[in-house]
Amino acid sequence: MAEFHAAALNPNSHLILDQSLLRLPTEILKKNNKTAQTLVSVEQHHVLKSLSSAAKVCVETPDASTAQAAALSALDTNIANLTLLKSKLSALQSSNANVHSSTHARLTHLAELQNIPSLADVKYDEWSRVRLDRLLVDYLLRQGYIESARQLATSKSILPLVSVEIDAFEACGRIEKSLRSGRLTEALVWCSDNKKELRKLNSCLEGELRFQQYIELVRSGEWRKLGEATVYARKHLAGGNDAEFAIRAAGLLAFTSDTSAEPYRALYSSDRYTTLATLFLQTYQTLYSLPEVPLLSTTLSAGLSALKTPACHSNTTPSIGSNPGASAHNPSQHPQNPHRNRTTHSNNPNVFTPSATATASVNPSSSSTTGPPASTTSASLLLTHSLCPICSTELNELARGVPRAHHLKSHVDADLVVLPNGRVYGRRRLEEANRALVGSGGEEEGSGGGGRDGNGGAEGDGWVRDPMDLGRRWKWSEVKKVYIS
Amino acid sequence: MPRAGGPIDLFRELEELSRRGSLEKSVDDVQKAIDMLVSARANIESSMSPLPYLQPISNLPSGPANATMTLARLQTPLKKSFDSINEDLTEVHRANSSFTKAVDRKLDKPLSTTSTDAVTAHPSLINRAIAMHLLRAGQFGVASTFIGEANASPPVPTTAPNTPNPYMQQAWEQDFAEGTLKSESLQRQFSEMYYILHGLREARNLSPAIEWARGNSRILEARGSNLEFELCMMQFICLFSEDNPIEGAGPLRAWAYARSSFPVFSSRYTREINQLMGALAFWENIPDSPYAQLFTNDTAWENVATSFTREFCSLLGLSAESPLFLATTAGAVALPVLDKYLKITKEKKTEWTSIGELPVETPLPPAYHFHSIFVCPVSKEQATDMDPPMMMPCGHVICKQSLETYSKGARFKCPYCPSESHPRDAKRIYL
Repeated sequence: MAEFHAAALNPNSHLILDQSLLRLPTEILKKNNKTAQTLVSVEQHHVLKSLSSAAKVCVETPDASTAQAAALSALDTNIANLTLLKSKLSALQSSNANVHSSTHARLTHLAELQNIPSLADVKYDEWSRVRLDRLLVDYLLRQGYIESARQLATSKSILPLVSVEIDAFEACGRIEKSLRSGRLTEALVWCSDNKKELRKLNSCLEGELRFQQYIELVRSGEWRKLGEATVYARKHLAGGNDAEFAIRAAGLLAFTSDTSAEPYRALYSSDRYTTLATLFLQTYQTLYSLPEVPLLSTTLSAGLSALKTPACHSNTTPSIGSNPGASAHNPSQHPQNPHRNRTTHSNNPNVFTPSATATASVNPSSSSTTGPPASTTSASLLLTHSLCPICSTELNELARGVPRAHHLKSHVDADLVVLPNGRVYGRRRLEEANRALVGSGGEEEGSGGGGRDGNGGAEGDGWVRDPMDLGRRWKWSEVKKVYIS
Repeated sequence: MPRAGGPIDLFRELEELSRRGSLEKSVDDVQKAIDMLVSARANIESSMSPLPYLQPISNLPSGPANATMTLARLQTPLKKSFDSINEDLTEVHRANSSFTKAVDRKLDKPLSTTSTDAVTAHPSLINRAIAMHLLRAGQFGVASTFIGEANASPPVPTTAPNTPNPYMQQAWEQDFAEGTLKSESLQRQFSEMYYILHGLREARNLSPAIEWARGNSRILEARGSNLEFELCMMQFICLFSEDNPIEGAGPLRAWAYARSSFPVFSSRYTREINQLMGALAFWENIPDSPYAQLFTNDTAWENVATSFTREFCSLLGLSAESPLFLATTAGAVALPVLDKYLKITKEKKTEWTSIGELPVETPLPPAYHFHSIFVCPVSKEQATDMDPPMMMPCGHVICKQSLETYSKGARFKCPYCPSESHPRDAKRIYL
């Protein structure tokens, strides 16, 4: 029953990962409208004022043609300004329209989930693949790998689902990059565009940027520049009420850029630009209510935990990472496990070799079998754990640090049996594996005349081999039942 | 049937938003203001025209007085038109915020930040997983762009304590983790895979796959894989059902193929080969023969493609399905549960105390169970290397620590059946 429950899909709670799909567009719309309102109110103030002052000039100017010329030029300027305003608003509108149509695509994508009854459904698989692509694009954008993100989105045709993000991060990336290369202008322009919001966030970004500009002025060390720096500091830095900050700024005047005295050496350091870039990124993400941690990391971390079992980093379970391909590249790197691999494949190194011996000493078993089975060559494809993502080359290391899943009940195959070496399998799985193994490269079978039928998997007179440790074989009669409650 | 309360409901709100939330009206209103200024300009210009007959026929004063008047008269209508622009924007603002509210109503509270330190501390491992995911998905172009960008600005390595150095298995893995992503060999291998898969899925050409399987015959056989034989069997069936005007009738060509290719398999697949040979006897009327099913398997191509992918990836030391896909999907299933747990504990101001294990059960669909899990029926703890499962002579299993506490080192009765045994008779098992 638990499994049935586990496969059920609740679309609403499932959307927890997809919230930003709808939240970012609304943030962009909000931001666009604010920009529009600011533009309009600035222009309104400006136009009305300039026209009324032009009217005043007209009245006061005795010379008719001069007055008229003044009136005309005032009108021309304002026409030009309003035309510029119009084109800015049009640009915002096209951004809005993009956001609207993109939101529509997103809603459609989310609505698809309504019609998928179960997590086991093929359609859920497809849907989840689209989601992974989306998460990947988001991750790539955050890492600043804009071009990769764009290419991935294009090749998977999910642009409508990520275009808003790409635009947002592209703008962000441009400024971040300019900061990293030591330019402050772009970031300062952005700050002044978002003054109100930044103040609301209590952001120190602008202050830090201004301070950097001051540092640059001081760095040159020329008298003229130092004067300029002082003026600059009075204008932009004096407003803050952080006294220590002001003292440091003033103190900087006394030290040249090659000083070894702290904190001035650190202030002159070019590392500050990296700090500024990171600060900018954080500020930007907060402003657009983007989650701090990339969603891919959040999802991955939850997924790794949910999938992780004690077996995944255990010494006694052969990992699928330890498959023959490893030898194709650099066989000399991997010492062979002398007492196991010899029997079957010399070209199949056991990468977890050290563990094989380690477990032997851990093994408390007083039984007559020789140590735990830790080997690699196998018909392990028949065993599901060869597909385990936590055991995979890609994720095994990443999963090492995450907590494992919590289980209240055992999950095992039906009809368990144990081999004399202590390995437990579902009877059917063991039979299937042994059927497939017949005739494969083991020594015994090479000479043994039985072939398929003689060594068949059926219980009775035939031999049985451990699919994970092909070196030994037993009679089926030695296989015992195990009871797990 | 769409379930009530889902995000699907927002389509109506979005339509409303597109209608009301457009800046087009403000753009039009700005244009009206511009028109006003343009006509005022024309008015002034014409009044100063040196040619009297070009002056407007109006009772407006001419010259500077006119200019002043025109400018003065602009004030009120301009102010009005700005007012209407502002109104337009307010309307857009309203539309936006009512949509935002609708979204907020539909969505739960945002995700509470879960502890992702273990993952985020290894950006280069994540990058490696992404690069491999892209390569195995056949996205070679994207992969090479990504590797290029990642090499140009590698993630800052923030190696957290308690995380031992990764086991480097292959040269390219080391490259990935060190931030010098070089993927040529992996890409070469995957493009071979896609070439062969294209043969199987689209071109219906088995030769590249058979060639590959033959080249790796020994390893495949050792894995207990039937791939090579399955492919040859497919080839036989293909030849059988297809008459070729130049090379002769299908069944004959199939027979010839069988004679040249099947002997290698004779000891391992005697039964299957006999079956195929038997089918030759019915070559005139396969659909009515007992062998019909063998020859009309629609999914055969897809099946063989799937098992090829699996074998190919295994030989590379990789699993057949993208681990990144499996893990993120599992994550999406587990997250709502974890998030709910975190929110509840936050409310109650309790802390998650279990170390190394999630605090709640995160049920996954059966397809996501890759290992056997043994939960000790006595201690309710999962078996680990430190606390392994022990089988008593009666066949019941409990964990080692439970065994020790329960038996106190002397003979004891199995908690599940009447049989008695000594703890030293219990045997470590490997699930």
